[in-house]
Amino acid sequence: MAGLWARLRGRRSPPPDASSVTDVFADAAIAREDLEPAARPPTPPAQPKLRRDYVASSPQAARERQQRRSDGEFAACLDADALDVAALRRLAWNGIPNKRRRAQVWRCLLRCEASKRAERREHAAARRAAFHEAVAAALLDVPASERDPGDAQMLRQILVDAPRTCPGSPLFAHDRVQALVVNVLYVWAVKHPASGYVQGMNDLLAVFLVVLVDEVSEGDHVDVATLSDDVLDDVAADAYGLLNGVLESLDDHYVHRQPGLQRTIEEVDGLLRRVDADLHKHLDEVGVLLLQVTFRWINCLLVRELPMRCAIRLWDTCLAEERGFRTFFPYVCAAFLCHFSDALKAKPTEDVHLFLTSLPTSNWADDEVETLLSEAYILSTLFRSAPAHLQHEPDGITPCGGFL
Amino acid sequence: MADAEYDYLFKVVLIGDSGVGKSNLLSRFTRNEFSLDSKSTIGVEFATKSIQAEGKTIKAQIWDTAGQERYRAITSAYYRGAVGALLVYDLTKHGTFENVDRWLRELRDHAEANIVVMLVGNKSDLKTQRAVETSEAMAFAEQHNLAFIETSALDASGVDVAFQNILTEIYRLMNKKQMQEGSAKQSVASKGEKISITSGEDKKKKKCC
Repeated sequence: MAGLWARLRGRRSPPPDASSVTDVFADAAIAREDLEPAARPPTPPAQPKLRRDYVASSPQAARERQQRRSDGEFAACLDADALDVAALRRLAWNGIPNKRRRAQVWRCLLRCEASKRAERREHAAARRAAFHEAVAAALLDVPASERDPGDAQMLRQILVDAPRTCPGSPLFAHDRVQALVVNVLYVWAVKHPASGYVQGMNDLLAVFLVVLVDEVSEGDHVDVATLSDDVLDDVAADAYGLLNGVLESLDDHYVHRQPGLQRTIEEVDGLLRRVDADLHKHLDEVGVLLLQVTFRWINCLLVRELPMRCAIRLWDTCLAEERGFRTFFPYVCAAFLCHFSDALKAKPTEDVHLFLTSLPTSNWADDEVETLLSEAYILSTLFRSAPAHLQHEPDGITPCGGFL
Repeated sequence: MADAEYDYLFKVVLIGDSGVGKSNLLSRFTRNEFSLDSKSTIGVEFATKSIQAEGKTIKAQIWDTAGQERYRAITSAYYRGAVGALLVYDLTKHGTFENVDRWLRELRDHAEANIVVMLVGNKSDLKTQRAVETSEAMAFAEQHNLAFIETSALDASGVDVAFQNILTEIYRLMNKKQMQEGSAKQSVASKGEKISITSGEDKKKKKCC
């Protein structure tokens, strides 16, 4: 199977995408001046003309053209009287090119928006009002002395973690954003007592906040001070809705003993056995458990392992998949692990742990994420419809070492 | 991390409530780094450092665990094979000191019976915010037979000493135990008691308690 993986690694084919044709021409590096009418020799009328949109002056220009066209498709999809979610999923799988439109797409994918366009405004207003009522009921109107001890403990934990959310980012350093983080996490926690707040949920919320602030920002530079209270209130309510959408699809990831997370680890283990048996064997030999390798990946949905913009691109695809963080994410984790296969296989125990503590992804960009997603997609097409492939072999070994 | 050869490899865990400074104690000790705004630890993180004690090179393999209750099921698994634990509280937050009892129970339930535990009052640089008096913590440590020290990961005071002391103490105990076993059974270190989970680097190891 290692050979299979080697073959798979060379391929790169996410779901069919008409615009990929442009990339082919971009790769051919046809210089613009070669194709400008003035610079070309007279063309015999019989010769077929190059289609204008296939002509690429550079990969960057081609990408930008593709993005403009793609954004038009998103706009058309979102403007339809009744939302075609399946069509939106197909579009979003390949990434959402316009960061100002991303929040709306994510809201639609996570079913925070009404599907009928005419009802969206009213629906959003009601959803936001409900959130702010919940903040008042759970937090603002409850004197500290009357707070349930369990809730008080949760609030203390959230207050410890809020300043540790995206440290160093000016956006998250702002007092108003700090307060927003606390409100959203606390309201979610008290409404979901089975899990409550679990560390790492703040990392997930951070992704949504960046995307939502993109939506309401004028330029590339985001200055929270310029945002009105009303705008920031809407951001908070929407962040709550998006966070809730993701967490509800992962309802047993964060409850006692985290069984959903454990199941995902088992799936990654099953995949690794089949696509990179050498790496699986190496980790086994050096005594590194998949639990140790992937716990944070799954708990924080790879937000800690990737630069923020890469995590956002990754999430475009995971959200485009139906319950993608449950169904597609194990394939992403397996592909991510295999990506570092050669480096990991050369390392003894301690170095494996140290390598995993700070993966070399700081200079990753969309290209690396898209390659990863393509590899995950290939794995999913191979194994998703054949769950027996992922069952454990009868050797009694569990990926968590029987710890959980 | 290019550690030279070492004589002993000891596994040590850092435990205590969330936000008391465990990760910064680790980064101060292993890399001499401190960050006021580090992210929370999810699950468990890891670092190593070698020190000299009584003429021997001791390599510490330190596991830094998440403080939140929800992660106990995962983090407690890391106690297995640990010969030392730094139980950290924040001396500006009395609640984190009150929880030390719960952490001791956690160790009793999951760790080796003879694990060496050191109580660490961190953030001693915040002099005006102190909420746990040294005498109070010291009395508690004596009552529970724990070593005790106050540290500041921020200004580095006490950090190296804390790790140096616990590693030296582990070494002495191990020596004593080996000598007792040696005189009783005329044998060297028993093979059954492995102190770390490593297997890939066993070649480098000369002895193991």
